[in-house]
Amino acid sequence: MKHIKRISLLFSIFIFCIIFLGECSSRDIVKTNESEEYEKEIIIPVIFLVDSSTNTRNNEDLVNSFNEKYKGKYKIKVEWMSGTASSYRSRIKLLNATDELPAIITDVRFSPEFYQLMIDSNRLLDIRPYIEKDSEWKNSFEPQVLESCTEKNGRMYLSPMSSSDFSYSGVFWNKRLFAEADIYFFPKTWDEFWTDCEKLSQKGITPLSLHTAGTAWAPMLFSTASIGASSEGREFMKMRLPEDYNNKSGRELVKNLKKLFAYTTEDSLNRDFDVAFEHFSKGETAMLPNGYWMLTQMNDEWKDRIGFSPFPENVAIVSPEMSGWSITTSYSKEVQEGALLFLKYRTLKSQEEKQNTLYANVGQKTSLEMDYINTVKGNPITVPNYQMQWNPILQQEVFQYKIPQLVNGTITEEQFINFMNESVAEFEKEK
Amino acid sequence: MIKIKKFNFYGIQNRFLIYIMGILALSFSMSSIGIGTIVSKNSRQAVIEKYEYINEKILISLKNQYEESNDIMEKCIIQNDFQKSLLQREMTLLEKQGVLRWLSDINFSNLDNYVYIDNKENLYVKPYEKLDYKTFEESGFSKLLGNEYSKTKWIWKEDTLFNTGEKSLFIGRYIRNMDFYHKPGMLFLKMNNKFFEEIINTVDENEGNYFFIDGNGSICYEKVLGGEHISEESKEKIISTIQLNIKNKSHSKFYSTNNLKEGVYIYNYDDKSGFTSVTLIPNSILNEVTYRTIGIMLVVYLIVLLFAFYCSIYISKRFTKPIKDINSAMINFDGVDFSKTLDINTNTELDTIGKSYNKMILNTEKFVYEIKNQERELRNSELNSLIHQINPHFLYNTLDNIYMLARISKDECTMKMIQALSKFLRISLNKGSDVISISEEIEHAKSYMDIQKIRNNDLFSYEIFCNQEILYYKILKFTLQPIVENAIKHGFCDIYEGGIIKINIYIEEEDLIFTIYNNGRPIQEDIKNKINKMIGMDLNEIKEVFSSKSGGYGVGNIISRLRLKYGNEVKFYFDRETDGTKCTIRITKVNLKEGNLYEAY
Repeated sequence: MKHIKRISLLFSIFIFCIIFLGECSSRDIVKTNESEEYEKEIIIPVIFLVDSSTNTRNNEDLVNSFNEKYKGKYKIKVEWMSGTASSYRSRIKLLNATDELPAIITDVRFSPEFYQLMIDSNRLLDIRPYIEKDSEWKNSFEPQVLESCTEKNGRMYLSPMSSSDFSYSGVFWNKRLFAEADIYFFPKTWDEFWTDCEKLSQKGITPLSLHTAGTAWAPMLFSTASIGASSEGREFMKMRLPEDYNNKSGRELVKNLKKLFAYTTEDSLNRDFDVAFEHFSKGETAMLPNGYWMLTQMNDEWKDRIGFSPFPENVAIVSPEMSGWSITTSYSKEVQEGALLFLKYRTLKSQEEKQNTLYANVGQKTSLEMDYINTVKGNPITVPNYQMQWNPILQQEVFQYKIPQLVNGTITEEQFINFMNESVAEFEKEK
Repeated sequence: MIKIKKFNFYGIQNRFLIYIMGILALSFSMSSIGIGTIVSKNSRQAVIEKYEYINEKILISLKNQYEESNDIMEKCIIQNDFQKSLLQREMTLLEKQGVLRWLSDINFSNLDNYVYIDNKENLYVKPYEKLDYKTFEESGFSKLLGNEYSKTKWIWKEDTLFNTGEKSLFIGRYIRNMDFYHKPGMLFLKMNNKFFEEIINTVDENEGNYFFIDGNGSICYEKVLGGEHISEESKEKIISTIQLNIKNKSHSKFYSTNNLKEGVYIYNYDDKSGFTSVTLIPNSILNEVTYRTIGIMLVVYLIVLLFAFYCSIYISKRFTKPIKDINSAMINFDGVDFSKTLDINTNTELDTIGKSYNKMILNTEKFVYEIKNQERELRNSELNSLIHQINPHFLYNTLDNIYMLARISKDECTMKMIQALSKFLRISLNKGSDVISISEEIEHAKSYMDIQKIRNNDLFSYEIFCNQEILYYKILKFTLQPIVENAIKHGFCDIYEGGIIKINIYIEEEDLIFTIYNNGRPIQEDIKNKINKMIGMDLNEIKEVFSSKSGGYGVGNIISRLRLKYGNEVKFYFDRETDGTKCTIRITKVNLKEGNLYEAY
């Protein structure tokens, strides 16, 4: 009993000492940011547009499927930006100047001087070495697409879709409105085109959705397509940063440009593409030029009412590099690797989509989708996108401020061409 | 000199108090240590968390300032005139005015000065500022922004730009053209010395030491509590730890509990500005709650201890008082006074002890009384037996006849001897009471001495002194004779003549005193001591002191008889003198129960 008491006492003292010493012990306590501890997933920041007319998020499915596939390792974190393509490009320019670019940018090629700025200041990652190492990725590109995105020095800053088949721009046309004017097919020639515009106008239907802000995308598609039918015109359009617009093609282009505005809405001047789109989507106008990407912004109900056609004379505006996305150099190697993976994923997905879109489940396609497929399969005459070719002063200042004056008659066509040439001089001065 | 009274560990109550106070003190000590430790740790943790929150607030404020500066810079970049300033062509005057106007309109609190340099070496400054491109180049500011493409950079530097000589915060950024790849411009904002102070002032808590440290480890601002001092060594430690952790990118916020003697420091690093906010919590604040808690605890414990102490005393008294009473009664019991009994009512076992004690006293009293009676009866029966053995009438008659024959023979000596013997025997054989008057006792002793004188050829002489008034006092008989006998036998054993025996009987205060002096050989010291101790011994022990002596009527017998008769107050002792031996007997008058003969009459 005595022993038990002694042992109990000693045990109690021992426990007390343990507890006491345990409480007494002080140690460096380190705390870290939760994000530092738990964030092993590499975040890849991107900005994508939310179409202000349809409220659809561009590339949302692509992002979700990538994030699902690479969950825990990579995550595409999207800033959804409401606005037009030109507002996106302006934003990218600002973000570049403020060094706040996302890891991936989508429209960098649309402004050639900005594209050049990015290359010259080493802001874009040369992805050529990575494509060369990855045969799966490399082989997923159509040769002409790869070529169009490769610089003269062999470097590649743009990762396009696998095929240019999804980069065609043509004309979306409202079949119902056309039918009201007894027109059941899209005009095959430019003469027919102007005739149909007259017919539609006589029926009280506004033929065209146009705008002048941004880079005057819609009217410029029409007017550049109008000269693309001729070989001379096509050569002119292939020229990167032409120095003189006062030539046959240039004059033809300006003439048609002015003519277009006779068949459009009253609020087309000094407004951006979204206004033009809104008119078309509400069934207020009969035609709106744009690319494949607008197809995905339309709801299924519309897809049966709307048709897609190449421009008259079977002309399609296409520059594969239009679909090119770039990786910026201001992020860590890990982020760049994730971005490369995302670009590859996109390329492969576009390859799949091409198969599904063009060759699979034909019977389940909408008439609009079939129109696009037929356009692609119809081997249209391709004309490069003017945005990839002409200087920014012309696109952003001359088009924005001078097209309205041209349309109003404040300036003549010659004067407009002079302004175009002056922009070249100004641009040369700044280069 | 203060004398400290030695604490008395004796006694149940004292022991009880000691143990109780000891247990309480140990318990309180252990709980104080335990609670103190836990409170200390928790309160320190709470204080650290509080200051962690404060430091985070400061960091947020710092971040806000950075974002504000960043916004200003961004606005500058996208501003049309700034963009034009970066084109190849020279700006118009109007455009330059636009730049200057924009700069002057910058609404950033604590902005002290600014300078914008475009890519054509034009400087845009405040109107009165005399600054040119050469000065700008020489200041070294042109290289400060390094290779950053266009990030807002905070730089803590000596002002070689505006030449104030003081170290200031400069916020700089490359300003780039959005459309063309041209050489960028540079914009620098100089902040005044209240910049960091205002960041600190966004928090309410002023009790702490705050620092801002730039990316190079320089302290840009420090605010130290009044009375506090942070050593340079500690500052170096903080800086080196921060630099190491940032370099390793291991932690962005951290606090250390061990490193500094002044207290605990917490830091938060802002990766955008590259600045770190540091809060050093002094030990005085860290331990404030602990000290207060422990202080209160000690006061409470002290009060509890005192309360327990007094309660213990009060409660224990209920038990210790009866025990003390029992103890006291037992100690003070002298074997004579049996009247002191105990009255204990505690409703505990102590009541039984008290009652048992009382019973024991009663029984002891009866027992002692019986023994005394038995002793007395035994003595009486022994004496009576002796007297009966001797037929007094026969003896007296025979002595008369011898006297007559001696008278006829004219033998004076024999006649005296016979007379003395007759007196002696008559008093010795006096039946009945064991007390006789002092005059009879003197006669008895005289008769004995007369016989002894004749027998020993006038070996000695004697003197007897006694006041008349006390002659009739009654005393125990055979008191003087045995002592005289001893004087003759032991005192005069070495002499043949000149012996003197002096008997003195007198009253002194309340005592009747007998002194018997002889001038013979002084009594041996050891014998004297033995005899003198006998008066205090138990009656059984007295017999054992001189157990081998024969006679039965020796000193032991006298002492026993005196004790039995007169109680423990009687005194009997020998004194060894240089020229003899004196025996003294003191009897208190109150014990002379059969008292004064005068009273008897």
